[in-house]
Amino acid sequence: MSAGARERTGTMGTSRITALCCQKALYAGLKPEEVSRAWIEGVQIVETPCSGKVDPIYLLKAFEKGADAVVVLACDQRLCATIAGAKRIHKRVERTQALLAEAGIEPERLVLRIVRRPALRSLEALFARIKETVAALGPSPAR
Amino acid sequence: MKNPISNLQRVLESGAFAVTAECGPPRSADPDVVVRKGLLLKKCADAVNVTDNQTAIVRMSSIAASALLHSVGVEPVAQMVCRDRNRIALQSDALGASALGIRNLLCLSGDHQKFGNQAQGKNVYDIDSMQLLRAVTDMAEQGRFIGDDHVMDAPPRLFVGAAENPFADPFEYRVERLEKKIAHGARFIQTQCVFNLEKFGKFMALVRKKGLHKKAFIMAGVTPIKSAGMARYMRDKVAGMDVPEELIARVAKLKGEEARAEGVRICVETIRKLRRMEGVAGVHVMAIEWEEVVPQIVEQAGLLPRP
Amino acid sequence: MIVGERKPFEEIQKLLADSAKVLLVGCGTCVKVCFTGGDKEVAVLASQLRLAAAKAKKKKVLDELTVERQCEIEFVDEVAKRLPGHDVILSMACGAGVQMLASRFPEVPVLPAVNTTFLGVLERQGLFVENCQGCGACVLGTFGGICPVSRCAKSLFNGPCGGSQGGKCEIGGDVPCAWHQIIERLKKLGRLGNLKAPVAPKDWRSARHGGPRKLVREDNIL
Repeated sequence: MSAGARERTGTMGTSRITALCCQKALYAGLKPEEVSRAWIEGVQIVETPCSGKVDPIYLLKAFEKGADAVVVLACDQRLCATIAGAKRIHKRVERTQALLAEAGIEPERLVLRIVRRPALRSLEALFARIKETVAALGPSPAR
Repeated sequence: MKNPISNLQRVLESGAFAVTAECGPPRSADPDVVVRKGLLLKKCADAVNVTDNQTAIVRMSSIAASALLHSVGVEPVAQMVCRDRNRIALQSDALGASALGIRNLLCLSGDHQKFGNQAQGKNVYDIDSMQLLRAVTDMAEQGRFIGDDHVMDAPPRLFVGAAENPFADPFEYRVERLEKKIAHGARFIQTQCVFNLEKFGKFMALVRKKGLHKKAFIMAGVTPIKSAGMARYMRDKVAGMDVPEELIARVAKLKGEEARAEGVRICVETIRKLRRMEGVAGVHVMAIEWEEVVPQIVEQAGLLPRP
Repeated sequence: MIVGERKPFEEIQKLLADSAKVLLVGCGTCVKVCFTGGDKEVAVLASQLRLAAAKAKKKKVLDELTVERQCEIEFVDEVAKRLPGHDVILSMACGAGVQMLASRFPEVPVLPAVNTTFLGVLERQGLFVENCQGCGACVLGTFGGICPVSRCAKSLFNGPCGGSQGGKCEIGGDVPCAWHQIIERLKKLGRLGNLKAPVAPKDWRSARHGGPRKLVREDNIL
């Protein structure tokens, strides 16, 4: 991972989810006293300076490291502070889903969520739904 | 003026309105199909074009089918495309055609192989139709091969023609290209089938302005429509075809025999109008897989008997 | 640049079916520029192959190395120190590079991961188009900088043919008619007269038709 991304690991549940989250998507709009570390049980959160930083290789590597699902949290592309980052992520995720399918991994295991800032406030609800999907899919075939 | 070497040349040079028809060789080795079609067209055409693996679908070779027509007294116009043969084969086939008694040759680029049943094959396009015109003309008139000083003792005897499509783009350049073909040796020209008479009229006006109708014989192509479906197919799927809406509308309401009758009527009307256009020396009737209808069309257009 | 596309994944898997220790070698020049075989693409392919191997419960070693160019021996030499311990090389370079690797390392099979397609340019973001066939006798000066050999589907020298419509080639797929483009360009340059002169049949000896070509620069040889 590059120097711009910071990892924070929650307690691992039975399913492993890695989430690459744009920092602005998580925190933009919060007052300093409202900011706390993003943490969800069973989810390894990796903060990135922008969703545009996310290259297909990071997503594939997450699966190599044993993730059952990988989530990308990004801002609405009209709000992207780096102009086109949140625009690029859509096609990159699509491409990576195709690469996963080629390798025999279900593309549904890679999820892109465009979130309303600040996503920190709605992480529980957001990941609750994702966890359901992952539970239904079962462990990654590459584990 | 040398004596005409083919019946087609004779008719054109006499000033009479010439008629050519078309015969597509079979997708088999059956010579009877060719002979049957030829005999059907014998009395209503001055010469019959034989297509060369048209739309890149493998058919009996044009030279072979032309020779078959010649053997039953039907004068062929052997078509030769640049897609499948290199300059060696093309020049060789021109010699062979002449040796077999074929006296008219039409030089074409050829539809791209992707349209046919051998789309996986290579194409050749060693030389293009313009260069082929020059090559065959030089063979016939000077007895020379491309880039070779050797003069052959029995040059091929061929009346050389080319095609032009007034309905392809860019429109204004089409007449320039026609001029170039004539400069490269084309003595007669057959156009893509005319449905849009207005546009064709504009084309002929440009042709006359340059005096090209006096340097080569321009024959307008016509095709009888069988149905509205066929007309629409030609409009949408065949490159370089201009089929006006009014024509489609005329056949759209009709079915089967009635549609075909209307198609024949439109074709006859078109021929009559073309006869009145200055510079049009004849008509080339392309009745694709409908050769039986040609005698009727030629008769109704007042062009029988042939001179 | 030379453009190519990565082979279908299944085909690559088949090529590597009997190999346990693969060295993937990328190229940092043409194939990197067209997002096919550079360091990033090597990483992605290696990752995919590992995931597929894990799924199949197969043990496969997939190592990665990218050199500046695989078409020059001094860069290809760099592979030597990483090669031991691998039973096959999977090259993501163009066909030229694959062959250079194969001739430099005849002791291991060198397999291609890329289908090399054409010589061309990046016309705009995400669009690479073919525009040169290396015919060895360039006539771009006559045709307004538009190549009839590579960009006309029939390589006509006296086009357009009768299938040109709306500026598009009869083969479809939105391919522009090169001859339509040539005419428009020459009109703009005021040089439409270039098309009047007869063009003699092309001398294809300088092209691939004359046999594989080479260039020898004696002045560069010590």
